[in-house]
Amino acid sequence: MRARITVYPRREILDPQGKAIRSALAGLGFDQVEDVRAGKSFEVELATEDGARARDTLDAMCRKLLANTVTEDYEIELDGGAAAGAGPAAKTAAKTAAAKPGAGTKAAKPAAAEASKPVAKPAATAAGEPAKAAAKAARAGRPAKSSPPAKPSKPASSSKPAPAGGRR
Amino acid sequence: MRCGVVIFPGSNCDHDAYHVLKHVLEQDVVFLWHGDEDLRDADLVVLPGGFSYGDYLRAGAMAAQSPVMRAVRRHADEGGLVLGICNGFQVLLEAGLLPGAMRRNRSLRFECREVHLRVERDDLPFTRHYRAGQVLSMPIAHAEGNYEAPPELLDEIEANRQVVFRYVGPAGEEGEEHNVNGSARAIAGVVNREGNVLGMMPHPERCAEAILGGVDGRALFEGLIETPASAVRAVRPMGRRTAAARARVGA
Repeated sequence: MRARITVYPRREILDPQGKAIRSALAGLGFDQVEDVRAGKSFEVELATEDGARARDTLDAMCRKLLANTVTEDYEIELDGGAAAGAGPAAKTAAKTAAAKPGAGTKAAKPAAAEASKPVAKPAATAAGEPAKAAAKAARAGRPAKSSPPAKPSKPASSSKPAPAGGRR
Repeated sequence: MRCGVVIFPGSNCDHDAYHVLKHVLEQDVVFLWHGDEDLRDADLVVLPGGFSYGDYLRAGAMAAQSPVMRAVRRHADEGGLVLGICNGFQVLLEAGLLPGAMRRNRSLRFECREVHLRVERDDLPFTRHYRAGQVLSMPIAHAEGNYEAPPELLDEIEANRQVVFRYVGPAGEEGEEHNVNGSARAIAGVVNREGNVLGMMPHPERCAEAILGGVDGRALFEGLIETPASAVRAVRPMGRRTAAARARVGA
């Protein structure tokens, strides 16, 4: 069973990365963007077909390692369309899901461009459109094995400004 | 005192810490390997700076799960001294040995510069050679040192006097312009409630000899090595320490 985990900074916590991306988007003329949160996403293959058990296991993984719950929220999606929200972020699962097919269609673009694109989508969606309906449609139509959104966004969000030569 | 310096894959200040303890302060020092659950009888464990595990996932997150950290946790629970510098601080946060978490610097830049720190308390093994209110000059070098915790936790940390160092101006004055990385309440270093585990973003090991341009970090190590192991283990849970307790830890 495949699962997708999305981790992002808590709403009440200032996200310096998201803020910088937002102003970059504003600089490109996307002035309708009200907020951007920069997070990361994981695709996990689990050796089980039991959805409830998988959810428990994934939830434990998030709490122990994948998310730092002091500053981050997470959400869990099981493949096959069963969106399984976990933690305080459950309500926003639909919104995030809506962004992914959009990101997938841009998969041919270079990684740098790709990194900022998916983030723009949910923010714009959240600003005006009925996000939940869009999410439902998106989830139903998503091919079971599609994976592109997770991969490009992960290295981008965990990349450092200048690790080479920079001692800490 | 027997000191152990942990080496994680990606640690890069391990030899600096070793050098200060071994050659400047002439202590018995051993390197500890991240894969071994063995502290080799160290009284003081130093988690050095660096980019453990390439900062994968979050800075310090992978290192916090390594076997040596199980031993460090036991050592800390028994009252043993633990000092986490920079990435070592991040590891302690991720391991849950200290409260809070790190985010990327407010500037989104890797900040590498000299900063001023105010010593908030001088009744710890780490700070007994400083005076409360004293302003130190120390280098920082990090991209993720923006300390964060929920407001109620910050209040608790303050009430317990767990804030040991704060970013300030040259005269010890507070101000956001001196808060180099945007940390909540300008926190640069935090100790656990019991007072035996300290994490700090600045690098005392890089300013412990005049030839390196500063000596303000040296007193931190001197305070540590003069702390008898028995006194460390007797450190009381937090709260304002009585004169008797101060005498017991030799402060």
